[in-house]
Amino acid sequence: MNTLTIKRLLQVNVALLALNLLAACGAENSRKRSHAQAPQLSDDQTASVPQDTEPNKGDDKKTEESSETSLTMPSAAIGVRNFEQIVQTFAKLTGVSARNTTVTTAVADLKSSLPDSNDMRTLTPAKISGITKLAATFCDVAMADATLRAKLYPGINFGVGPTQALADPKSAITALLQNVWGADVVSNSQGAADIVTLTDLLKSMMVGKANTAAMTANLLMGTCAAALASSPAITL
Amino acid sequence: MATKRLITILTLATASQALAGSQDQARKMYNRLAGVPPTTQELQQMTQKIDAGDLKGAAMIPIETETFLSITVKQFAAPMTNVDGSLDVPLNDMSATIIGMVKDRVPFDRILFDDVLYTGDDNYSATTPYSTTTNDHFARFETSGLSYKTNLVTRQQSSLSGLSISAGVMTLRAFGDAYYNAGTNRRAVRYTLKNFICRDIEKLTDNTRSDMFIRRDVDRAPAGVPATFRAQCAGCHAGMDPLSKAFANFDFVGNRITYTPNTIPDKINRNADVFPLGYVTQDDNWRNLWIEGPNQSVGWNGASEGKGPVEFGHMVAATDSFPTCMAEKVFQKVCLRTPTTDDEKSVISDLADGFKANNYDMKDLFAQAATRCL
Repeated sequence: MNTLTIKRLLQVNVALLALNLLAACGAENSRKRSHAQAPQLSDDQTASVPQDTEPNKGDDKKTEESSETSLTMPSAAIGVRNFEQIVQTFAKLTGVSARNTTVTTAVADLKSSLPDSNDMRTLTPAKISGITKLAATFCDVAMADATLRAKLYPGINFGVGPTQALADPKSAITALLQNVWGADVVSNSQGAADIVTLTDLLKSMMVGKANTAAMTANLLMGTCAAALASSPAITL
Repeated sequence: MATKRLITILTLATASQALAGSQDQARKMYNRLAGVPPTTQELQQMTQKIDAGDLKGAAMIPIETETFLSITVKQFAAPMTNVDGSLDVPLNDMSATIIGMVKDRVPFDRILFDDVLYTGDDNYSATTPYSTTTNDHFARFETSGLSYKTNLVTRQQSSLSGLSISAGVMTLRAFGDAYYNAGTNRRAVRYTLKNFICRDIEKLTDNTRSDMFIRRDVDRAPAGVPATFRAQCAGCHAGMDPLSKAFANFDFVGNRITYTPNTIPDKINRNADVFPLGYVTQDDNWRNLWIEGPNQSVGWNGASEGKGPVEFGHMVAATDSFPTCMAEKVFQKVCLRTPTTDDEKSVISDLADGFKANNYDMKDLFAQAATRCL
């Protein structure tokens, strides 16, 4: 994978992370409200008053939230997976073994560039770069395996160039995100926006490229890495 | 007609919102407990249970996965096995034993006094045998791809350790390497209390206790000022030194724990010339001076004096603070924050009570914590 592509992936990933983190915070608030309406929950699970998870909210907001009947107290809205969780997550999502020698070499090289805690505040640009490089390694290995790549991109003909294989780039991206992020995540409004973002990325990467089978695999490796290193996959 | 249609739309919208809520909750619960995302099938099963009001049943799905043990519980255990509290250490006999006891739902208070050790199974041990002088057995287990669920098995610690005493994790090699290696074995007290009742030594400082058991290596007039000793040093040493006698016969020499029941290693009474009139350790009969004063809040329920680490372990495990500490640690792991508000402290109290009432079942504690904050 060349430097330009890595740079481009990083730009896209930072954008996706920001969008998805905003969406995650919104979803958390929405979830609190929807739980307040759930009638089937027992009393012993409704004991506590929700606490404000955002430090800079005003008192008015606190009063408003405290007036809701919540299922339980809210957890920290979002955390980032630490290095071991990231490696095992990428392994589960791609089907590539965490013991694959290419992967273990990359993990050894990148370990200090991966998050060492679940604290979102530790997710610095250097960590995002490390995560993206590791995602590219997993996707590289997956694209070289006919079974694994067919699971990530069902229906794609890897034996032809991108003009034919990726005639419908949106379908390829939608299938990828459903596999990597989960259909439930992709089905929300933010998921729809992410499909557009990644489809645009794929289209832009296709411009001026050779129409070969190898290029098809290269391009889909790039979008795979972008999806894998994005917040729906690396946050918990 | 228009009203009917509007009601139908609103009903569908509410149902859809509730489904999204339970799916989000299921996904977050799985992520936090298993460390990895759920499969579509796992998410569906959990969502159904949440929708049916069975939150604990939903939590048990990730808890029964391999990664709950290989990631979540391992990362719960790892910081307790080293002075730095680092996650990034190889699997060792102490972390493997904690994982095994969680896996098999062994009452977790036994972690401090039982004759127990978890190792790789017979097949694995045939090629990479357990050793009292290296950590290879465990480090290779971790990278071998073997299953913690099926290949990590319980053993009688005394049959493998070569020691004539077994006090849970306190007589395992990793504990010895971290807390008996060099020093004066006070670390064994400090980190046992820090790890299992969540009170580091600074939190236990009490200047009102008698200094009669403080050893000879503690200066009674640091920089020539006796008041400094009384105001600062004695606050920790007065309580810690008589407790550390529990470990008076232990050392870590030649990469292994040594236990000499009738001999006190030289290191325990070293630097005798600092204050020659100080206490000289001659046996492993320990005393707890913190049962009175501000540290009564620990909730000491067991004996206030005893002999050796087994009885010391019983005392620590019997405190009110032990289940509370485990509840706090699990809450932090699952909920990703330290409990601070009154509501959260109330949840910790509930979790601790439930943990104790449920025979110290750690899997149940993880499940209950997840249902309370996710």
